[in-house]
Amino acid sequence: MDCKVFRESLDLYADGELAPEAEADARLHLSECASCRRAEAELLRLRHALKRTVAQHEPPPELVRRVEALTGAHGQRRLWQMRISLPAPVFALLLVAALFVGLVGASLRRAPQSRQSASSPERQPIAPADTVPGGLDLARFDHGERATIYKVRRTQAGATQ
Amino acid sequence: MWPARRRRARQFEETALPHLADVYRFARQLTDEQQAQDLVQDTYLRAWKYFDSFQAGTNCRAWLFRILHNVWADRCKQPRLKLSLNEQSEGTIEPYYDWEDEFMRDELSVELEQALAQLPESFRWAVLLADVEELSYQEIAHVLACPIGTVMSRINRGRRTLARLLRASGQSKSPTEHETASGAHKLEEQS
Repeated sequence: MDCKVFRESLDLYADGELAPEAEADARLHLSECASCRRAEAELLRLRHALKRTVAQHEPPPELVRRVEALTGAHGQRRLWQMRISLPAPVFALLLVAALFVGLVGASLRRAPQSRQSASSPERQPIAPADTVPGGLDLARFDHGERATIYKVRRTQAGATQ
Repeated sequence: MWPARRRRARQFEETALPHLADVYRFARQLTDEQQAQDLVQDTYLRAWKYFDSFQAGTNCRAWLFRILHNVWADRCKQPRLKLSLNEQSEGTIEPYYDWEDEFMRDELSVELEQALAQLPESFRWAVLLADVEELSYQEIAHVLACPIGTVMSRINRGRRTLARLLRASGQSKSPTEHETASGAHKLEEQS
């Protein structure tokens, strides 16, 4: 490769667009020719200066926010749409803890019922006192409801007499 | 948000958003700050709208620059292939015969920015895409929607024009420096 051919293909060489054989020829020529090395160096300096000049500008934060908002993925996430990342052991621990709390809660809820059912035979003698003629178990009703029931019964009895 | 839309948004965030600064910096070389912001916003709006047409695994930056080019062309209301008078003779490649003199000075960001602003638009696009964004000629041809031969000649003529403008600004801006330097050189010769 001579100087003329090299200078004509300097762009392609600098941009890495030459075929491998042509690139090897250009390298060989560059190693032998100081003036072509200077021409190449100037082209590379121009490139570096261009990069430096262009890199001076930074996008303003409000532009970044506006562009990020385009997808709707930023700033519009509801609480239930947020992703929570936890390490697997922590997640497993939390799961076990939740299960434990659930089981303890269920057993505590069952305990008063069983205590109630255990004490019900003692209550049974009282139950007839809470029944009115007609077989209605008044223990199921609160005082207000019982009063209403008694009132209704009394008016019915009065009407029949 | 639906899961599919959320997935699409996440892909967009991971693929396209990281290039926001590059797209903005490029846009700043085309126009002022306010218009550059509008340009970038429109580019990303269009990118988001047509994100399904982006082929995963291909160069997303090149895809975004193609959209930026289309948005820019639409704003300028110019047909994309229409060339100005000084761009019409772009078919030829000029060899770098006169690139041995050191026209590049160290602190020239301002001069370079001014020279870039004076560069014809199609040359500016080609030079910036090659030198700053380091896209391949094939990718630049895709962005600018023109043949590779046209890309080559635009890069070549763009760089040479830029060098010419820099030389001119260097000569006009610091005649005293040149005079001082030549005076010093003469003094050295005399001694």
